[in-house]
Amino acid sequence: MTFTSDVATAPVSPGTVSHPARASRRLARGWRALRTGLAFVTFGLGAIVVAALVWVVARGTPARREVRTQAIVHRAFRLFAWWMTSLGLIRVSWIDATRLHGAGPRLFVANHPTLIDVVLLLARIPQADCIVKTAARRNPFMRGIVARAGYLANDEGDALVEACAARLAAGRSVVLFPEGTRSPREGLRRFQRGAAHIALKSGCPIVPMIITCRPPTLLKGQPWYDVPERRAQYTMRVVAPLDPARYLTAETPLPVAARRLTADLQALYERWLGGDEEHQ
Amino acid sequence: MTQPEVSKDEIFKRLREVLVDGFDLREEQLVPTARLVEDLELDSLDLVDFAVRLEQHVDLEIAEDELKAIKTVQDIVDLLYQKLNAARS
Repeated sequence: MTFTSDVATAPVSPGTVSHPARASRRLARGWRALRTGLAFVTFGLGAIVVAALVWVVARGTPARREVRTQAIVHRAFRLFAWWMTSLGLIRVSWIDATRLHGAGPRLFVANHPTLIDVVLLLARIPQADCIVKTAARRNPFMRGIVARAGYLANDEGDALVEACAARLAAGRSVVLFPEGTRSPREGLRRFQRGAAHIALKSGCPIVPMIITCRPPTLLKGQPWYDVPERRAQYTMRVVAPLDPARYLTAETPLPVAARRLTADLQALYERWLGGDEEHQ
Repeated sequence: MTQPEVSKDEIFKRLREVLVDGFDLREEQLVPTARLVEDLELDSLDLVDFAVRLEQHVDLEIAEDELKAIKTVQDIVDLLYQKLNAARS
């Protein structure tokens, strides 16, 4: 004999989350958004303090002033990275970071998945000339520091390549994002050829840094309060430098060398971000 | 006596050589309607280099304004046709 029930029961799928769990998750996200807001308020206030400090401490010739300012920015960003970590917002792991510290100036390049990539990079590299957006040069919190650190504007075109090559020739390292802006949610934008031109002109090796952030956060167009459900894990991998000299032969015109170097650099990033860890 | 006119076909062939040899482009990409920036992916640095190569190749000076007005391969052919034949007449 079989019995059937007239009581309708809602189907329960394995992914269904109960109300208390949903509420707890919302609460956790709200708390995380609050801490993120606190971190950015701290950043703004810190920028005012750093700008004042730079004004007092970083003096002397323009080159000396710029390098001193960069050293102060490096320490301030280290502090900020520590603060974000302490707030439970991020965790940062470096892989093969010893490659950052070779002899002579380097051209550091990185993909740019999130808003704070440059903060994390400069927190690790004591001296680096950066290429910043024009907006950063106008930002009331940032413009004093940007100007005093000698950071370069990304709207200067051909002059930018010359300026970066001059910095490298003077023994200073340079950091740039070949995508020109933040990466899309998945994958990469097409790399611009500026990094290749700078490397070819200066002869400096390109040191690629592969940045991943899981779960994704602080993406382009994403508001700061749209936080992930858990702490963001940043992995910063430094891979073997690329020597621009092997792209330059007597028969290879400079634009061709720049195209090939850029294509190889983009392919290297695609392989790493695609999970092919065999390639170094 | 004026020198014979240089045809647009001839200019196009010479232009194609400059673009293939100097920028690693494939011949089939180089159609008259191809846009320099969007289709051939020449960036601002390439365009400066391109102008220098072109000037060496055709022994003519190209003004910055003229360079800025160029959008497609056909625009270059037209510009060079006009300048080369004006120089010969």
